[in-house]
Amino acid sequence: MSQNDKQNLRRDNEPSAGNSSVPMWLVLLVGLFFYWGAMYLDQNAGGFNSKVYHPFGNYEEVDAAQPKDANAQLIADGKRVFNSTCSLCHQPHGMGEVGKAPPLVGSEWVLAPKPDRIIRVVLDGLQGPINVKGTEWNLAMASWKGTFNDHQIAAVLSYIRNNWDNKAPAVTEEQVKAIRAKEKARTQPWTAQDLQPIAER
Amino acid sequence: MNATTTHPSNTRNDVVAGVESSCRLPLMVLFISALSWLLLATVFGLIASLKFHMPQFLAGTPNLTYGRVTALQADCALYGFGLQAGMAFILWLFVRLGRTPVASSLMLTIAASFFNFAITLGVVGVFCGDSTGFQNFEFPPYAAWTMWISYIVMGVIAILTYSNRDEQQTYPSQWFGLTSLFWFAWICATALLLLLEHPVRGVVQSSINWWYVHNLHTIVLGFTGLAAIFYFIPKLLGRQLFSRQLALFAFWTLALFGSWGAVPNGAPLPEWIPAMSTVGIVLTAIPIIAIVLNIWQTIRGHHERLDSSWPLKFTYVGLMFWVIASVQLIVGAVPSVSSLTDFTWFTVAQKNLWVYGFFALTMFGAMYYALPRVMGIEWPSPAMIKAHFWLTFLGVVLSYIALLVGGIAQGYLLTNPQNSFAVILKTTLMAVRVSTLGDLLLVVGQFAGLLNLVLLAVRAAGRELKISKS
Repeated sequence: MSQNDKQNLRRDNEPSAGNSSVPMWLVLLVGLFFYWGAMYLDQNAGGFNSKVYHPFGNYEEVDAAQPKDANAQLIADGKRVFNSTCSLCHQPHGMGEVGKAPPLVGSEWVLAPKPDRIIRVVLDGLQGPINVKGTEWNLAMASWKGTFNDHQIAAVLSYIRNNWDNKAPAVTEEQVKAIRAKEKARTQPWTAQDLQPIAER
Repeated sequence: MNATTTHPSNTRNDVVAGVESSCRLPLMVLFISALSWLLLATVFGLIASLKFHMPQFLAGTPNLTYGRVTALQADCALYGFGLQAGMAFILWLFVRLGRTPVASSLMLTIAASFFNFAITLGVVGVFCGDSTGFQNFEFPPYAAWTMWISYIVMGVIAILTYSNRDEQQTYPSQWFGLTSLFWFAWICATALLLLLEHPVRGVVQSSINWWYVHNLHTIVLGFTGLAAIFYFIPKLLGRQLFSRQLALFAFWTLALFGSWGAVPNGAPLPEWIPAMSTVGIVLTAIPIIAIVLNIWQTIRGHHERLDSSWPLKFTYVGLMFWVIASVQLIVGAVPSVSSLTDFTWFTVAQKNLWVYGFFALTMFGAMYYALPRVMGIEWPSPAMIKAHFWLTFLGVVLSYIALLVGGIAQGYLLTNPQNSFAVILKTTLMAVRVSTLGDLLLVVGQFAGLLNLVLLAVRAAGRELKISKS
């Protein structure tokens, strides 16, 4: 009588369970299935993003399928330029700061229908007295034409004209390019007086 | 020397028989009601199947429209039959393996009566149009709550019986049975709260419904059937189960991965939910391999004895159906297949095989083994056992193959937008007709099974009367 059969007898003929261990290949198979599972989720779970539904594979596809505002990309680029440079003086909230820079929010200079003056201000800088929203300012702004290209200047101007409570048409790269070419000879920053002849409409 | 000298069904231990007689009344009540609900379920299934090729059949009665009849078929089979037969088997298993009488035979019988009252309430509710509208969870709240509470009472008595056990060493079947009890209490409470009491919003309801239905099939019914397979195959072969560790491994991996799934790949939910569901279902391949390996090693060299008794035959065929249905679930979860098979007869075929093939056959096996020993009476008609087996087997196989082939054909036709929907439905008619024949065999088979059981009960009652007179 084998060992197993003896055990069976002791338990009133109720079945007992043997002690063979789980075979190694089965454990390895678990690893293999886990690997497959991870690969599958990587390709089919849409990055676990709750906005990704069938039949889209990932968020980029979903985003690409959304109707886009033509200026959204330009404004997004402008935000980067503003935050890294302009916000140091004009402040992230765009309200300016005494002794540093006048406000951009609600500024008649920023919101002018034709952006020809502010394009010039950003390209070559500005100095001397200037009236913004009824307040006299007398500070100096640096020239940025050597730092930023046409796209970046168009972007940052579009951003400040459409951020906070501001609402004005975006500035195009072509507008910046034309003015840069026209004012190529200029070496001095603009003054408020110099800008008066430039049409705002 | 081989194990035949200790063939267990020949040796009857008096002590064990005394302990087992404690569950006579509840077992009789549970099995008779379970088989009655199953017969009703197959009748509803037959009516639903007929309606597909005879639309004018019973069309005048709103209570018997297709939507209500299919719902009733599933609910009678899952709750009326599935939970009660499962409870009866698990209770008997705890009594036998624990060598302890049932904790409270009377309370259990009362709870079982309440349970049947709840199912009746639910069936009448759905019949009169009071369905919740959630697939496989159609019982209106008042019936569902009554059902849940009486299930909890029965479950507590079963768990008390388990904890009173005399034999401390547990056997894998006990883990599976115990888990099944807890699992239903949990998933049903979750569904009651999140679908009926404080309904979650919109499409999230569907994901909870899918999760509930999948857990009800894979874990609640699945673990109960597996408990029977793990018990009866070694027991009736007079063999030792190959490995406890392998059974434990299968238990945990199946409980872990088998409970994620069944959100269709085309579901209107964020992609990661169906993706996780697919991964969970595919990972159940591991417990399937572990269980097949375990049973295979147990049977090895004794295949010729597999048809030595009816309970063993029922259990073994049930295991084969479990393997087929589980593999089909895995295949159907892969996106390249599911894009073809979802919303066709393919998934219906899988569910039917699971409930009527795997689960029902393992429970019949348990019933045919346990009841004569508990009651101390042989089955009145061995011919009816044979009829029950073959009619159920043929009915399930016929209906399964027809719906499987029909479902795949339907899926292929649906992928071509040139095919009109009505034409596609017409091409599946032949498959549905064959499946109706299968459903008819199933009804006759269940009738034979119930009749034999009622005759056994009558004999037992007659004997009790004789004893009390003398």
